[in-house]
Amino acid sequence: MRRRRFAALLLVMGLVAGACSNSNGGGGGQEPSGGGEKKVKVALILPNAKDDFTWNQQAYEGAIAAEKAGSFDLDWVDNVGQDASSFIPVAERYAQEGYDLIIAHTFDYGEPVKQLADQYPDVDWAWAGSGIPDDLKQNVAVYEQPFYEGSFLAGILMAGASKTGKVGAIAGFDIPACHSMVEGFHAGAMLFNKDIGFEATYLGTWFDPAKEKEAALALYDAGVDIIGVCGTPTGVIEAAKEQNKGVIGYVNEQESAAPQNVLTSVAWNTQLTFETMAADVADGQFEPAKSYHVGLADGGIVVEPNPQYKDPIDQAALDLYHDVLAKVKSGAFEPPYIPEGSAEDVKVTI
Amino acid sequence: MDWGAVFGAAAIVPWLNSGIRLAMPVACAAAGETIGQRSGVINLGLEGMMLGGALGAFLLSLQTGNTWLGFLAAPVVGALLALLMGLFTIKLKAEQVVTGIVFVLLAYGLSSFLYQELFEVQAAPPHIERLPIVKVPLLGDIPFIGPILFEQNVLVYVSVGLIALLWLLLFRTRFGLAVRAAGEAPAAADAAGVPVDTVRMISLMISGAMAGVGGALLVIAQLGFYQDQVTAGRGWIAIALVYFSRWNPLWAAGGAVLFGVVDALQLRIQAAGGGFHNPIPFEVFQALPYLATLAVLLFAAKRQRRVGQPAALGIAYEKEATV
Amino acid sequence: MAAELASGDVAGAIGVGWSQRARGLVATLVAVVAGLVIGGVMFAAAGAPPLGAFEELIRGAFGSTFGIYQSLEQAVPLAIIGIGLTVPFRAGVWNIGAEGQFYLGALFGGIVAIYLPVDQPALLIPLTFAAAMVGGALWAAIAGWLKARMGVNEIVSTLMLNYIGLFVFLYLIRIPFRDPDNLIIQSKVVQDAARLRDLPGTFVHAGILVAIVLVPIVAYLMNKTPFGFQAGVMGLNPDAAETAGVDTKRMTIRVMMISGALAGLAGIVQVEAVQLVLNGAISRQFGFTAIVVALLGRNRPLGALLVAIFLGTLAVGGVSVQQVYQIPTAIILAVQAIFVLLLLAAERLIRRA
Repeated sequence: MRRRRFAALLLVMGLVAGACSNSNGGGGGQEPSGGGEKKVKVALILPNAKDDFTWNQQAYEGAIAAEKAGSFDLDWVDNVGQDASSFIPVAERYAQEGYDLIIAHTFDYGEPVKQLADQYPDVDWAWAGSGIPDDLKQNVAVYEQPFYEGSFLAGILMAGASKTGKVGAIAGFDIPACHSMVEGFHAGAMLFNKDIGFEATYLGTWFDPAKEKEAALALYDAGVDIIGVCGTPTGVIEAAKEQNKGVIGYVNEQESAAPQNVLTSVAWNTQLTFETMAADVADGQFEPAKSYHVGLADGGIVVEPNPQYKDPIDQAALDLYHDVLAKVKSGAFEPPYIPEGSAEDVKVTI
Repeated sequence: MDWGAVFGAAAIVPWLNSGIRLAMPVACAAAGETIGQRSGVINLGLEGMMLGGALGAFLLSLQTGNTWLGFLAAPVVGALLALLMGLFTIKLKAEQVVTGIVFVLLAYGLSSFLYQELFEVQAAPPHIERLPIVKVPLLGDIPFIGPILFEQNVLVYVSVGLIALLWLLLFRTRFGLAVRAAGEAPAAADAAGVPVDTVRMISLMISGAMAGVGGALLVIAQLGFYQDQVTAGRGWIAIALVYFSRWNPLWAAGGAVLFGVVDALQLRIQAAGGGFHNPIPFEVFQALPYLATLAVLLFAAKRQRRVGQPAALGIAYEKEATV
Repeated sequence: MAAELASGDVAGAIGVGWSQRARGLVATLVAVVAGLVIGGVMFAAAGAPPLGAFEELIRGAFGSTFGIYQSLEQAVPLAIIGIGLTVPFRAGVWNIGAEGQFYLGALFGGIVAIYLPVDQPALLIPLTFAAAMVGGALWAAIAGWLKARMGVNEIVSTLMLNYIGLFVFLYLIRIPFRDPDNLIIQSKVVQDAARLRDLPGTFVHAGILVAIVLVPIVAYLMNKTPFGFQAGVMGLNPDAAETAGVDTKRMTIRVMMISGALAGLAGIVQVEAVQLVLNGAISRQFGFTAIVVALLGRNRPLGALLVAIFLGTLAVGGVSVQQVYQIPTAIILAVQAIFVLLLLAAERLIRRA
């Protein structure tokens, strides 16, 4: 009985669909580009909620800002899901509808992007990966998340503001972007204070603020007084407020959430990153297997100490921070990239 | 790896405190679910009801500026969602497992959508005033036990009270008897005059209300803000714990505490150096609470005779028409 | 009439003396209309024209061969796992652990698919399938054993094992089976010979064949063999089954292993057809959605397949609606859930008619 009813339902839907698609000419949803210069059509695919206060939100806000600034035309979708079989129908539809640049905003989208790039060579694909895999295609670019550059700077400030001599980090998963970020905090802190203590916790989830808060409390109880974050920071910020300790914002500027407890944020200027890529697409400069490393030197990553932070930052640390920042901007120094292993095994000289 | 930092005297109190905080939302939901399941209804929609309670409590607190008032929204929202689910599973006799799972999906979608509609994308989530931590006079001064048991958020005491009430309800009242009868032998209960469907609906609404309270705990006692999917799968753990608890609300809460304490432990182990530069992969620590639950189950199973689940669990009661 | 309405018998209320089929049809239509209305209200709340949104929902899934292929592809993992779940469900064993079994199966099968030096797909792919089924079956057997020999309730054990299995998987791809040339945490790509390609002349991958082939196999197993008969008896009344000579302990382990094997098979199919690597995102809660698939399909393999396809069309249609009208994905998920709920209600109304 159920079988037949479902079959009937599917049949009915199919007939209706056939009737509908006959009565309605071409595909939907495409706006014709206005007269004058044809803008790049960008599609942004977000794996989770656009209001997650961090990773997805920053991409969303940056893209919207770029659209408002007239840099490109934008369509976006959020809550797509992290897995390939959820990503592919969404991305394929954009590819078929003539989008110029499709931005796949998480590392797990790498493999399906490579496949789709094969099938749709006229579309340019950008992917939030790490490093350039060997088999990257002509029309695929990686846009790095050089958080480690920012976390290195933040680490200096952390060491300069820590009262207990021990700082730490909480990360969702031990992926290269987070591992290098965590070790970046560590390396930066050691640069200012080679005896600084450092602990890190990996949560096993990106989205559990209550658990993050408990993890932060555990670190604070263990003597850490400033925590860097690679993941949803809202729970950690709450713990920092409660315990009157320090925290570093992740991806967004989070000073407004807790003006006295957020020492700084490793803010990611997604608008700049996306505009850079779109500009290349417009100029036909989207090179094969290009890596877009829009980092500290280019203004893609921004780390600025929060003047309202509850404790003073050691002036020597501030001087070191300015020194390092200047050297990065001039190209004289590159913060260390430590995707595996420990910062303790890496020698850093400015 | 500094084990002293994890198990040392100074560390025990914060650790157990953290364990209780992690446990309470799950404890509420699990204890409530035991009532529902005792009456014969499986409520797999717990995660959705926790989420609904959390969002409802948050919104009302934000709107009225009064968190106590906001808290009242939690059991109401939870119970209403349970009522809706009951229309499907009890009234229409739809399959309970499927209905529950689909309900959770509906709750995910609606809560996400509602939150997105009500709040713009902003740098930090809007905050409400959290309910305070209360230290019980005298009892709170007992060394060691005092800070753990008697210096908790006021909602923790409320929850413990509610859970104790649930136990009393189930085992010391006539209603509780009716609940258990409805779950063990609905036909006989019906013949004896017990309105089986009504009893089940009420039990289901109790489980929904408790789930809502559990969700609200997260938001108005611990975090002070709401975020998409803030419950993060706790509802499913609560369901598992019901089976662990042999359908006893106190044991369900106990199981939740066990789980929470081990979870807090693994976080503290990682904070003491366990997660970082350590040959033991941190996945082992992340898996600890689940392994611990299984281990206790195994241990308990070996020692006790099997306590069966309510005989009519999951089976909708169809009155044999003898009009 | 009031009494019938009150007892939920809508069809009875409005048509005394109709045939059962007609009542069933009416109930279904009522459910569909109610779904359209509620869904329409939700679409409107999200800022999309209700009629247009539904039209797009259908057109996205059916209006082009592309949509149909995508719907089938979305259905594959749900169908394979769902068909597998009909086995323990019929025996009254609640396997909630398909998600973990999926991952473990993908792991076992994936290791073979990546490292075994075999060139011919005709040889390699079956080997990967076998490995995956072993992996899934073994993982499920743990819960089966715990229930059979130790009396541990399978709902809680399989739920816990889901998480534990996931952590095991994540560790193994983070360190021992990591792709050394890639910074992202994933395994190496499966060998070309292990890839499941599209069926010739179509854009749907061969995994759909696996799902289709499983239907008669599992149906035969459950309907025409002593094993299937025993499982059914167990499901109706385990104590009576024991008295009648069914070894419920062995059966418990066996049904768990069968569904675990199929969940594992779904895992490797998904990896070889769509994902191509092992990473933490090879599943989107397929193991849980498949529970809905099996139960809505009345624990019958063909029913499970059809429900899986239906859910696949909903997913693909939803993508289309989202893109055309730029409405939040969340509301589409809610509308999909409402549709399924109303179908459940309709099904109940039919049965009571």
